[in-house]
Amino acid sequence: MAGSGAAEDRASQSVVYEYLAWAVAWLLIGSFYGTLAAWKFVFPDLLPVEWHSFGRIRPIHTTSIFSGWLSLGLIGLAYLVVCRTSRRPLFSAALARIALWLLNVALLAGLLTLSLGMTRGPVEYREWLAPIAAFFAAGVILNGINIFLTLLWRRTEEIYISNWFILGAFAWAPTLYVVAYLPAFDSGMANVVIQAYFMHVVLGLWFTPLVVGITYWSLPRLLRKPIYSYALGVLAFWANLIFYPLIGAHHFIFAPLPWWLQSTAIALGIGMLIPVIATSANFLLTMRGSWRFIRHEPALWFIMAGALCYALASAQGTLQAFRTANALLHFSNNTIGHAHFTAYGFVSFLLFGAIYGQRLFTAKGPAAPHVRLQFWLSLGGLAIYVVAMTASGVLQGLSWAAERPFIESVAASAPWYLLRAIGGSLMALSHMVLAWNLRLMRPQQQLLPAAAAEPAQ
Amino acid sequence: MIRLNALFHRRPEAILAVGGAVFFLLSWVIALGPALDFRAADAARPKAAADPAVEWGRALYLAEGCGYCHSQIVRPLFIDAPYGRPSEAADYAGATPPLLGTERAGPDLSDAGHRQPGIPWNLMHLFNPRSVVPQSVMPAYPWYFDIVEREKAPAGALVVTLPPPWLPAGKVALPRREALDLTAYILSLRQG
Repeated sequence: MAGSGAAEDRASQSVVYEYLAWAVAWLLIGSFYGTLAAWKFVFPDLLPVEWHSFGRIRPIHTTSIFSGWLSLGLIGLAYLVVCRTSRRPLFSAALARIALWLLNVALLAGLLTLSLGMTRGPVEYREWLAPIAAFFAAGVILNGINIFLTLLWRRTEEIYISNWFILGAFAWAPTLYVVAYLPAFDSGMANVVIQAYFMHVVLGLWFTPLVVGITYWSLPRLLRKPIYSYALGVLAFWANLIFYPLIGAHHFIFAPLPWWLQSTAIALGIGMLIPVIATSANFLLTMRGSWRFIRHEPALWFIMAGALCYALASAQGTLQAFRTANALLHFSNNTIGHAHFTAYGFVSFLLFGAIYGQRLFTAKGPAAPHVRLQFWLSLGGLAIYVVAMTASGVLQGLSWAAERPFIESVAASAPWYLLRAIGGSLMALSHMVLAWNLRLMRPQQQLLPAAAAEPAQ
Repeated sequence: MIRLNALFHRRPEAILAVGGAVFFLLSWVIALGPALDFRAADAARPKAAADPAVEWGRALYLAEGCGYCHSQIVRPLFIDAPYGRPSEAADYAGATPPLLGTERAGPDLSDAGHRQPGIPWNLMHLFNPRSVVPQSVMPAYPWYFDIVEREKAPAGALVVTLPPPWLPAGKVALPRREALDLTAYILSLRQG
């Protein structure tokens, strides 16, 4: 941090912490709605009020988690990574705070309007009315400008690989958002084409690059050594960009979409294994020779679990797009299991790891047993959740293929719905532990010595 | 190639410009192009006359998020045979948004009008799905009904009559406009 003003650097730290605190607040809100939704599958007449009806809280759960927890958390940590690897404070802490409020206003307005049934329909992850989405997009764009200018005026020679992914995410997200809300494509199958593109690309070109970029910083920093291969990172960056946008149509296999569109999606889903394996292998190979760190550093547990979930869940995604598998598994609970395997097991776990892994704010931070407690609650909850949803998805598919009456697939899912609700509750519980732990990590008044061991570049 | 690499390693604007341009190009190929094709094809199709009750019912169907659990897409597969003939692009022309869906926690409703033709059954099901399908996990929509004394219900009005525990003894559920419109929408779904 040589040369940077101490006050400016402290301001940057506070911004990062504010983003993380809000992210965790949205995680708690999203978990509440998710858990409630899960228990409603066990007790359908639980809380029979309009604004807690399943159809209304489902989009609140998904948008609070995706746009609230994941987006705010990833943006906050992206700021941290960009500052540290550029060896300078943020271009503007004020701009970051304005953006945070734009994002929070959108999230809160989204929660309220969806509760009232004001929605664009069950178009996943773009349910918010256009003005609300515009607030959110404005927040993302301001953050993008802030990050770009910080990087442009960095005090290092080269741009560290993390920043490739972070810059990419901020370049792609505005385009994606504008396309998702173009009124020209609101109706007919045109809407489905855009839906397939949006619901998929937002995962792969917003959440994935941000969390991968952040991990390219947090993992080597924890291990006090450079990443295994810089070139693999560059390969994954380009391969992800080429393959990911083209595979969204696998959400609508056998729909009246052009056959080439569906086949492209399925085939290039195999191509996605290239960036997935490159990235997860890069993380695991960086661990090679450093497993001794894992004893004392629970943040690494999250990162290793996240890297494994990335590889496994992505391979699952590739396989279940194949037409034979898709005919059976599509529309089933398997999809819900897969969504949590990826968004939670992969993205959230790497995010947890990055949050716990940086010792920026306080010298002490949360006690290791508390971090471990969250790990086991999160992992246990996730495992139960994914197993329950995958198993019931297969049972549903088999029931449909056996041409049994539909209600049999509902009855067969009943025990698994209970198990899912238990898993989901454990996950929600783990987030309360996280909130407690994060509270212990809030920035101290006096400036700490700059952290040692930035990743070698 | 080495020079190109050096460019990306030193110039954030290069990553932004090239990454952004590649993504924009791919977006055209995979999303904007095919979407424009569908838009042109839909524009050439005649518009069907809209029934206001059905339209309003569809708006409620959107507001309540029914489409998260009920798909409206019949794939050309034997698994989907119970739901009617396979869906075509023309089936969704003008639908804002189209309701194909991605999940079947409940059954597909493409042909619901044929599968469950009765208004009374649909009203009972809407009031509380478990009153007619014990294993159902669908939410109940009691807020679309007024619970009144049997004698107080207007003469000739369509009412839901259910024994306890669904309704207190001597009372009936009088469907509001919303319940009737939602039922009208569900019964309008036909894909025989």
